[in-house]
Amino acid sequence: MTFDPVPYAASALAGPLLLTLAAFAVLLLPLFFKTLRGTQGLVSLGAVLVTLVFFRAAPPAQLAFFSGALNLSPLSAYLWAFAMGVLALFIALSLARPAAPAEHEGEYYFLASMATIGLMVMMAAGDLFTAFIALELLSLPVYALAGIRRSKPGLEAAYKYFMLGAFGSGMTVLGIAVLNALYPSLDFVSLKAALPAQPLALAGFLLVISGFAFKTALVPFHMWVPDAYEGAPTQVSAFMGAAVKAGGVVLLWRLFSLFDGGPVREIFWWLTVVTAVFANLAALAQNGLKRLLAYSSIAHAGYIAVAFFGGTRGWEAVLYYLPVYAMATIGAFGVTLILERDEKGPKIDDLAGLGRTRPWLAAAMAAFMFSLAGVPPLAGFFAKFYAFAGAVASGYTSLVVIAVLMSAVSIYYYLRVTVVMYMKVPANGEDHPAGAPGLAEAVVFLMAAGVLLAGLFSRPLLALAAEAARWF
Amino acid sequence: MSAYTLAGISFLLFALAAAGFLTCGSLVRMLMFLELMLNAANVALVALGPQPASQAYAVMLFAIAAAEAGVGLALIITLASTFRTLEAANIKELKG
Repeated sequence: MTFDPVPYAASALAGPLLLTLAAFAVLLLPLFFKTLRGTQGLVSLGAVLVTLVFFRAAPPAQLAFFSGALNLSPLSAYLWAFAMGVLALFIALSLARPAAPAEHEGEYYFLASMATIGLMVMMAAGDLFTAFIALELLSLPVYALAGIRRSKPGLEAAYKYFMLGAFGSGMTVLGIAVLNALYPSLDFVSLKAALPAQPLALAGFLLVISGFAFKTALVPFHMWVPDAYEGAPTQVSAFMGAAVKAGGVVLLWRLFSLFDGGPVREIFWWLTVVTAVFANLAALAQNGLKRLLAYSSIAHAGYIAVAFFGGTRGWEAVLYYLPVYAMATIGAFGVTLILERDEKGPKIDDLAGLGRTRPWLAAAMAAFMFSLAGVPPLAGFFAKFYAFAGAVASGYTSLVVIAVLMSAVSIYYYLRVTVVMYMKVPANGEDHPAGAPGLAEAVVFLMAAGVLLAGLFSRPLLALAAEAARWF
Repeated sequence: MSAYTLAGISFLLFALAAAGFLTCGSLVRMLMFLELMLNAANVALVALGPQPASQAYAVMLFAIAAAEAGVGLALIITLASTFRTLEAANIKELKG
């Protein structure tokens, strides 16, 4: 069957183009038409939903656009749908509980849309340089989003995130400069084809990988994560956990798959082990819910990195893991958002009595915690199972043993949240007033349903992931 | 000056800038060191890489560096007016 790529390209690229147009519209139009103020969120959400609805399933082929800078395939379609879904949920959470002051609402949704477009380009990037530019398009808006409230915690989060993110970018650029000198071209295919065993090439790859590891938050490149997640508006923390991390994962995965063995794989092995061990141990000591979720996100980056070692099955596992993790983490941050009274979010002990006063919210939170911990039948269990099974099949048993042990450690702190919700009495008699359920609650329950259904009926999502993974 | 000398200088500059970034405590200096790092890497890129493509990359990196400086300066100005300090050690609102 012959396939004409032009109409498909038109409809596939219409998505990001529509998002860009909508982003500029919400930024600029309210300046001229004062009546439009306050509608920016709805316009952005509408644009994302329209794009998602008209998003055409990709043909079973890999199509290169812009001389190979952008590769569209079922893989990119899967990841793009994921990215737009995360943006839609982020906007919904922001509509329910505005993070930005009213006069900056336009900028807020503009920055979020731009970050998502950067994420989408990065996920489909065919060469290292495009991937880096897209990574910057993803990161720069998120730095600004973290500090959009101009409050002390937000600004501290933003500057820490900015400084370390930009430091990582500097390392990536130097790595790109080295690789650019050694290879005829920077696209991933020719990087893989002509891999010399030169120490200089290795240095170049390590620089690029450590730059990307900053964004994915692998230990020891994670220093910014707890502070950034704690100080940023909770909606933005959810976006960082779900979207920015997914972008970093996809890039690291592309770099990892260039190597069939050798020192880079060994370094990844150590990064994975250190990440899983350190993040889980550090999470045990946390009292703030947002900090706990931050360490949890570092730990999950480690589990996803385990899946890298599983070859083709590992790729399926990563693609299944990303949406499952995103649902649980957006849901958990959604609950945090509903309960928070100040910017740093509630302490874990502040959840005491939630099981009595708001049983449904507590049940949803418990579902997220169990899914993150990997308790069957929730989706998180299957995500971890597939991630680890692939690595075992490829002979990385010791890595998986460490990851499983650390995952057992993680049950302690996830369970602690649940125990506090159901078994503790609030210390100062403070209760959680049940407000009228709104959009934030809707997002939380949607995510809870997703975590449950993707676990009980994991086949459809897994089949989609497997189909997408074939095009890697 | 040969391409390799130029690249050597740029690596040295990068290393100095990275060391400066990690040791200095002032936010403005950190931002300046960041820009220095990016520009050093950019010089290495142009000095070593195959020509037309590398120059195109370098021009795009100018734009990235400018955008980064823009976001960074905006953040630092807001920080300065909120915290009344530019020393990283004095900005300790969050635990850790």
